[in-house]
Amino acid sequence: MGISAAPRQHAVAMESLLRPPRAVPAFLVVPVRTKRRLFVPEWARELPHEEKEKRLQSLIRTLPEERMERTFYLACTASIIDPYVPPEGDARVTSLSKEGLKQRMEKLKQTAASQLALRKVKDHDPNFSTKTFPEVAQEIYVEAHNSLANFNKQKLHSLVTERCYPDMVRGNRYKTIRWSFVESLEPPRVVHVRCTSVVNQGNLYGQVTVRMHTRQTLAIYDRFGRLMYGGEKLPKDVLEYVVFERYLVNPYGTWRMHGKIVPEWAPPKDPIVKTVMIPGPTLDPSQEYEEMK
Amino acid sequence: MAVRCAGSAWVRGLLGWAWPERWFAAGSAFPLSCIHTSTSLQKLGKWEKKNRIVYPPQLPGEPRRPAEIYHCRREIKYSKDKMWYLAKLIKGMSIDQALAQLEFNDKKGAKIIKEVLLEAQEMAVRNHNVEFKSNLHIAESLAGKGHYTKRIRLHGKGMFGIMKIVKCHYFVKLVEGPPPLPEPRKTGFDQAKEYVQQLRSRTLVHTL
Repeated sequence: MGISAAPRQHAVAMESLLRPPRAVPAFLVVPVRTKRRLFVPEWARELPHEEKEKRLQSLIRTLPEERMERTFYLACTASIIDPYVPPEGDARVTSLSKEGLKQRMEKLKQTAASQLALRKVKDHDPNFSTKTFPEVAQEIYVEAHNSLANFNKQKLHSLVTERCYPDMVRGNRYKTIRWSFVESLEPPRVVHVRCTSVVNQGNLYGQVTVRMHTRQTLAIYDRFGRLMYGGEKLPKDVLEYVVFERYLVNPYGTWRMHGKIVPEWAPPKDPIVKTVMIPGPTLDPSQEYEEMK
Repeated sequence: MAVRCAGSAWVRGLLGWAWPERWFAAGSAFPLSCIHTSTSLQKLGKWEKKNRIVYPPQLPGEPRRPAEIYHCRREIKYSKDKMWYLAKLIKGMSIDQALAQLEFNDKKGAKIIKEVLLEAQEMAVRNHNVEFKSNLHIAESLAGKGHYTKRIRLHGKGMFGIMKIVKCHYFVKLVEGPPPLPEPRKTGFDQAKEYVQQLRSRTLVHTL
């Protein structure tokens, strides 16, 4: 007994060393971690914001740049660049008085910016000339309005830029438009030329403003065939400054209508046939309208 | 001119921990997410398409054609039989009278029909060139059956019944102008006159 007791006590002591006396259950629970989501590396945790930015910039430069799969093509600018300011009383003063003569003297040749732009346009399009262009412009104008009246969308798109198209077409889907061009009162002439580049240098678009004094008839009928505006046998004199644009760098580009410039001194248009209600101020039940006034 | 710029999904995923605010500022020069390529989302019903017919311009001598506006609401959670009562109530009234009647009606469908009428009135003035919003009357007003879904309704003792969840459509046609006068009722005297007229208009055949 004495000889075997000593190694058993020794064995128990060894076991107690190996297995520390803790309340260990029969089954072992191993905690499972969730996936690490927002992982911030150790070196980045303590840095101030500027340091982080700098390190990220250096990283980004080494990563490859991916291309955009959907490319798109800008066929026209979004607005009229440096719009022409028409002189006051343009068609109201006769050309025989002194002021009229002055206006006629203000030809294209006096504005330097227009001259520069004209030179750039002639670089890309050698056939362009300020003498022949206004007739072409008037033809485009007449054709565009005719195809608007006939709802010929394909032709209208080819004659009018994408910026002008919604302005012309909005609200007309269920209406009938009858437009006709009677005659031109004065020969059209070029008054303003500008050239711009969009996004990149050298991506040139040229814009030419043409002054047209014409006589036209317009009648708009609503969905039920009732006359909304104008009259078919009622010719009106119209003075307009129409802007034409062309994508110069594209060898197959064409001159298309881009927009119109409406001066502030232009006379107000005729009112429409129907009466429109303008809602008054909202009142409490206890208030009266006369008291508010 | 083709446009290319940097930016890809996996780069953003790698460095997203440092620049989470980048994802909110989509201020790149050409954000693609704004380009819509779809045309129409749902198939249009026949009633909605009736608003698209365009009449040819009227000649100066013709009487002015009254404007007609079609409007409807689909899949209303209400029974078509109950909706029919309200539709029959409004038929032939002017729009102001109809709105007044529906406002003080206790049924659930009355509120819905009132909304539909107000929408239609707004549409008429804005899109269809109607001059006076009170100058409209209700020419047609119908209730139709919508899609029904079947569900199980549990009864006692393990029995069940099939329940139908019922929906309806409501259609309305507004026409410009005062409402048409109701036809005068036929009195007894009129009926008697007609009878006598019938007797007098008989022809005798095969006689002298």
